[in-house]
Amino acid sequence: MIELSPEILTIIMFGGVLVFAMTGFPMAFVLGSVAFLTGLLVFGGNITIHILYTRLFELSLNYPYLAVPLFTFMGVILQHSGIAEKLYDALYEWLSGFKGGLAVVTVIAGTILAACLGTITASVTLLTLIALGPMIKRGYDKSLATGSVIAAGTLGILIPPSIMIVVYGPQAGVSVGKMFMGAIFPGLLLSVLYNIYITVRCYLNPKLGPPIPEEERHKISSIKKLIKLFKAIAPTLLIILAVLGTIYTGIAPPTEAAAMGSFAVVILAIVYRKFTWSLIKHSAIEVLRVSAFVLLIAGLSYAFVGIFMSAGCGEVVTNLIMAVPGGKWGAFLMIMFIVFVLGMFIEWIGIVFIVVPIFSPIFVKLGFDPLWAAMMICVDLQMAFMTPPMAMSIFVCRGTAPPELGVTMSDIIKGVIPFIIIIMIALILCTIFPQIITWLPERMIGPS
Amino acid sequence: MAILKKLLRGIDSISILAVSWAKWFAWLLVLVGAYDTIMRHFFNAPTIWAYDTLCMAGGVMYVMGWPYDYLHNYHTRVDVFYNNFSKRNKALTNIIFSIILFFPLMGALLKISITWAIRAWRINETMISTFWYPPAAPYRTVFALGILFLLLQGIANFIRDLYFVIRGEPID
Amino acid sequence: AAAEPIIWKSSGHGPATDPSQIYHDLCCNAITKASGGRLIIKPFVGGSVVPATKELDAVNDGVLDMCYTCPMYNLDKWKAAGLISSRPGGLPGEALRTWFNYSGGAELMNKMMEGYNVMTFPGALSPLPEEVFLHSKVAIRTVDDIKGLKIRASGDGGEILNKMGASVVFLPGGELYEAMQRGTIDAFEYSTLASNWDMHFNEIAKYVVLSPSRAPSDPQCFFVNKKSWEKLPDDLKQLVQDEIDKWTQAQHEYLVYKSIKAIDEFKNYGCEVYRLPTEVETGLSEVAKKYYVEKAAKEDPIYNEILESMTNYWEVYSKK
Ligand code: NA
Ligand code: NA
Repeated sequence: MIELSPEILTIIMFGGVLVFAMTGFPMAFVLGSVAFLTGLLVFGGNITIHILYTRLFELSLNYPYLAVPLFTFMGVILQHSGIAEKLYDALYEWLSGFKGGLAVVTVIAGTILAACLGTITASVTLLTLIALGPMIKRGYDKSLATGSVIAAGTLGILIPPSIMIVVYGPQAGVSVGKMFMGAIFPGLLLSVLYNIYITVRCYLNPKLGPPIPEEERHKISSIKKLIKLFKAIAPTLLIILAVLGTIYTGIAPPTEAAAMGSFAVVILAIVYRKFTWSLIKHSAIEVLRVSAFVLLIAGLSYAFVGIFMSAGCGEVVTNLIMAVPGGKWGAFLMIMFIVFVLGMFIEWIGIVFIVVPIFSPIFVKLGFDPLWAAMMICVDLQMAFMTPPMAMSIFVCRGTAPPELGVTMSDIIKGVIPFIIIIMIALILCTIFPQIITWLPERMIGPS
Repeated sequence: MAILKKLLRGIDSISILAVSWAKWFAWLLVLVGAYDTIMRHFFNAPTIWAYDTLCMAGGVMYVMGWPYDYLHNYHTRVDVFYNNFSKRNKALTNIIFSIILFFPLMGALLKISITWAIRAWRINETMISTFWYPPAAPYRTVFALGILFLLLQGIANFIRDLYFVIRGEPID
Repeated sequence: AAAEPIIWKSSGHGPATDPSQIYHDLCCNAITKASGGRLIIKPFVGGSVVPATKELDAVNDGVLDMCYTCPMYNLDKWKAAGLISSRPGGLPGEALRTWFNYSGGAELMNKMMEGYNVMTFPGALSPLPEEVFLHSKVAIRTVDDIKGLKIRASGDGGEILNKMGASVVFLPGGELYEAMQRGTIDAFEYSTLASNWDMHFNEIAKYVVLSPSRAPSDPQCFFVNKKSWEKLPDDLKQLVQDEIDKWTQAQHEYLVYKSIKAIDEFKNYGCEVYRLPTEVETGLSEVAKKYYVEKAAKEDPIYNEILESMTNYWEVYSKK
């Protein structure tokens, strides 16, 4: 066992994760092993492995995080129900004639789906499958098209229900229900800003998103369009009701609400005659596949934290932040910056586990409203899904996009940059007008 | 070589077999979760067993999924550089970092998982969130098995990569 | 030359703002200071080293040298731990601490933990003040009022309320406010009045029903790793014991005072704070008594030994 100062250990642990992650070895094992090897060096084997085991084991039995498999379940069934396609088609009837209209349709559909889904995997996959092809085939700029798919799909994990909030709440001691409420307006704000950006850019340069010519659009009456829209939105309302309605009428807390939501999508799939034996099997294996790797990263990040804190590194980070000049806002900016940088390299769930236990007490110490601060981090994390090298939304979009569309990585990266800037603008707005976050939960639930 | 191939397939089929059972816990989550909610809210008859059952069902699914995900290369990688590697370099990367970042950790986790599973049987450990107080030993055992299968799958992946680096062709 | 300082790690079980965590940290720092730096105890917040409530296992394995946690969290290995804390019909605050310090409680607890690498000593236990029976949306005046009530309760208390006809559910503490507000549950037991006031429970439950009968005094207790303890020179052993004794008592007194204030605050807010009618208390005690007698017959001898010791002490104490 070696004596090393906590400062050095902090560098070793963060540096180790970033360096080893770049090799492409699975993230979960990188996090777990950096903790294991550091622990071995500082505490010896018995202590280290006790910490790792008890934490990984504890996390594998965590009740709130059952929302991971349950939201994944909802996503898988919804993907096969045809609900998203109907929604896209109905919005298409209304908006495809405008400049940038298909991208706007994408963002609106993404926003509505976000209220039904709790993860990004399902929403980005769906939007890529449904919305990307039509845009690119109609001559949309590939960057604008992929950017809007990715940004809109990523709203899925901010607008409630949200697995990110379910994981974040207990870590910060903030109620999940309040955070769900607090996320609605920031989520809608982003959605509106995305649409403004798309519309303005396409009006300035219609080549980016040409309107669909009159003769190529369906010629149906406004009444029929309205009926179509209603029919497309009704099932999504049912799902929203099943999850958020269940929570806000007191039928069940968030985890069980996710089970009710799953139950609701199953019923919808049955109604739409999409519920087959193969879907029953496929959904089960898909839920297992996704929740296993998510929970392994979560569990080993949680294990990482045990070693990190025992080695005194938490204090190092706290002292660093408190020493930033500029008072409480200087410290706040530093925290937002750290989350942004970590968001480039580490899976969101790892970030939540590693930094939230350190940052939450700092927020309290500095006199920030815990709910507001938690929401700010969640909005900040929206960027993490779009910033390479570790950019989950980009992975999913690239992995799902049909090869014949010819989308390249540089198209995608060029496409997401404006949306990242918009998220930063939204963060500034939420700082100037904290009511965007706090108004609804205060009205609906009460002061924090 | 035939024996080696058989061994690798044997390990794969353990991972697959484990999942073919464990996957049904996904449905158990939905059904038990919804059942408990409905019983509590509409019939004022909450179950005492749902809470722990749900936690354990989730746990079984995750730990049995770990080896399966490793078999199919589903564990998230930062793949900006990795994806541009040649097949051989990918295999080489996996070999080197398995030795540093996989086997030591998993070996240690396996050892302690078995110790705690045995301890749970010996002291009749119970779970204590609810007054259902279910025994902890079965789940601790499943957890240890999951780590064992993950380690085995890691060994199988390692042998495949090693074979590929040496021979320049996949073993199977 | 001065000897190398001895460095210990110690963990509480609560979040940083929890009184038990605050007093744990105060105690650790006081020992470090009083020892002149010969014994440095680094305090950790609950959940930062090992998962919260799993502190004692960590002390057993030498991950921590000391911890401050609820005996009840160790029900997973020692069923008798549930007799000492959070027991319906158990000993109220002062009785519990004097039983523990003078009437063999600490020794029995060490006997219960035999075979493990952990120990405790007189002075290490700090009971909470008499607990609130329930925060409730509906008034509870008779045994029948409990029937069909959706109550959040944990541990043996949950089972006993269940036997009395309640629909018992378990929810994490962080979900209680909203679960009450929206009617997922009708009533709940949780922590102690002072912290419950801080959690704004006045806003979601009109009735604050007081009674020591559900869980008279949920104590926290300091536990030490045996090997770490043996390595301490005698004067430091004495110092650690003295400081712990001082701070556990200080926490107890602080919370007694805070609870009295909290009762006022609940009343001023408009909650109805009242004592559980004797009829209900008696009903609960009877169910509890029967439950523990039945349980004692099934458990290890130490279970019965602790139960008898506490029961006998209460006989004497309550007649004082
Ligand atoms: Na969502
Ligand atoms: Na990123």
